[in-house]
Amino acid sequence: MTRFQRAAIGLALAGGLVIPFLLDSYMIRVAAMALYYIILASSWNLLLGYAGQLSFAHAAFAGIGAYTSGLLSYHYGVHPGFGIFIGGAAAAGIGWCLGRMCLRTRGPYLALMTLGFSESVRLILQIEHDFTRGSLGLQIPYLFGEGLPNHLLGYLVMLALAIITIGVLYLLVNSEKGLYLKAIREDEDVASAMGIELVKWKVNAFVISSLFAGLAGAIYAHLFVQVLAPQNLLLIEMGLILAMTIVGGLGTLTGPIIGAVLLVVMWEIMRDVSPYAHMLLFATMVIIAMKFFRSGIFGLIASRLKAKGLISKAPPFTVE
Amino acid sequence: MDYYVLSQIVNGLIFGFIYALIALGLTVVFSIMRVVNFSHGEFYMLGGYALYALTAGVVTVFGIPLSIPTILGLPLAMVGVAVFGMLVERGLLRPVYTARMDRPEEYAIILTFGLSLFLQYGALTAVGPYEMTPGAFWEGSKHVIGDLYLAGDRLFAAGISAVLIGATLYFIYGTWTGRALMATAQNRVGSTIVGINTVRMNITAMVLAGLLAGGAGALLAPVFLVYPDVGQIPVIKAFVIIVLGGMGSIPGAVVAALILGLVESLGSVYVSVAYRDVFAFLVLIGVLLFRPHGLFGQQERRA
Repeated sequence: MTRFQRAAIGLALAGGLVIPFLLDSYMIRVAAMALYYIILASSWNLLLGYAGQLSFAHAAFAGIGAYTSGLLSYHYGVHPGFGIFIGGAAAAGIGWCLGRMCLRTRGPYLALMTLGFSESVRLILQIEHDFTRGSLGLQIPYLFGEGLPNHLLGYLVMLALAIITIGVLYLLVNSEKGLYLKAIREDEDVASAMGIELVKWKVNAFVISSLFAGLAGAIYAHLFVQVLAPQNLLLIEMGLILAMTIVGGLGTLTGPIIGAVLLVVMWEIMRDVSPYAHMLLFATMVIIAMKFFRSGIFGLIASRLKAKGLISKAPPFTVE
Repeated sequence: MDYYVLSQIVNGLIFGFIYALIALGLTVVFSIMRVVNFSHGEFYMLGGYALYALTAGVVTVFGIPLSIPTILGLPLAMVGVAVFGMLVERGLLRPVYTARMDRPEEYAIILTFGLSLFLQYGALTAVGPYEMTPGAFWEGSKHVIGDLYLAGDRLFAAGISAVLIGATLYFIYGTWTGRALMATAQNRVGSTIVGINTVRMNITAMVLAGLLAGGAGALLAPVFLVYPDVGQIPVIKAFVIIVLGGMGSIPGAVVAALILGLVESLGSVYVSVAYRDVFAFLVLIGVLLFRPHGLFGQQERRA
């Protein structure tokens, strides 16, 4: 890691800690939403950007985390402090089952299956309204006891989770396991010939990414979303995560962070214009990015920075 | 057999024909270009909107409200969506098989998914979330047999679907262009060597997909109305159908569509009506667990 990279990380951390103290309550919520999307986009990026597996179920896993924890506290009085971990575990478990089923075969099965899965999850949550309260909305308690939610505290919890997520992803992608995933992304035949167990590592990546999605979904729901509804699981949510990752920069740790912050800011600016215009703009950005600069905004910046020697060219980890 | 079950079987077959119409275009595009078109559902939506715009008298051309009979609107809507499909191929999908590109499959899926969002939210921004009803093709309910009555529009949709499916199968198996299509699906390089213009085959596949999906959207618009995300559920069923039939298999798509139509209808009789749209996903799980290459597909190599 170069001095420039350390400075950038330090600046980002300091900014993340200081900025909320300068904002009003509404803007703190927006900042927390940006953190939520940073976690989702970063963990989705582990799948597509590093392992080359395209899943459309990431938003559904966040929803599964939120609903598991929400339903446990609503029906059985489980404290959300435990609930969030059960929610994360549920998302990881279901992710394991889904991954075992469709990562055995090659081809676009994962994309097709996960799209069907996420729509089915939404339909089931709507149909079973006696249990889930369906479109009426499921009221869920605040994470820290009774009373009004403290947004500043909530923001700091989200910040901690974001730092943990990115830290774990950093250690993972710069380890030998990360090289396995990248090898699978580049060429499955070669990776398999080198002795990498394809199914095992694809499923592992899928479970880790589902776990973070489930945790983030559950924690964000208990801190900032007072009412859960299946409408939150529409494919638009997946579209947002996808747009943030693609526009920010696929296959890098910094890209999804830049993408999430940028798109949340643009979304806030466009909120007054029209309720749908932001998604129209983001979809256009995805198409333009895929067609003209597939490495995303960070890819464009990174090549300049690399030329100046500000970020390291060689991967920080090499296998002896 | 009581008429309720019989009517559900007939209903299932009707839906089967329409699903087949949607899935055929998807499977032809996949077999030729190795691209799963995630915006196929929006082709379906565009067909419905095109029919509405042509027939409902809401669009004015030179001050005259456009209101042609629905029966004439149907072919026009199909052609309109086919032209759109051609533009998508030319503008967005051509690099997949001409340029040297990293992971073209990933590119195609993300691009068509982005296009799907673009069209859905474009429709929301342009005309709003309202449900729109084009005029009926065949008004009233029709007496079929015994106590069985069916809505004229559904019968019409199924009948025209069957005709269109027949025409498509004839086109693919009975004409030289169709043979060239199949050759391209089997081996791109080989078909180039024997003098097939494979780029033209891609365009043909996308035009066919546009015609069929646009036709399905227009046929069902009077029954289920038109709104921006109308294509979402039908396209997921089409995905299930092409996986069940075997990715890229044309007879597989037709057979699997009829199977799915029947499974849904009988499932809603014997299991639960509310879960009607979830059965497709259960079928998908079953296929992936027990027969990943589908009914008619070639054996995929296992990872």
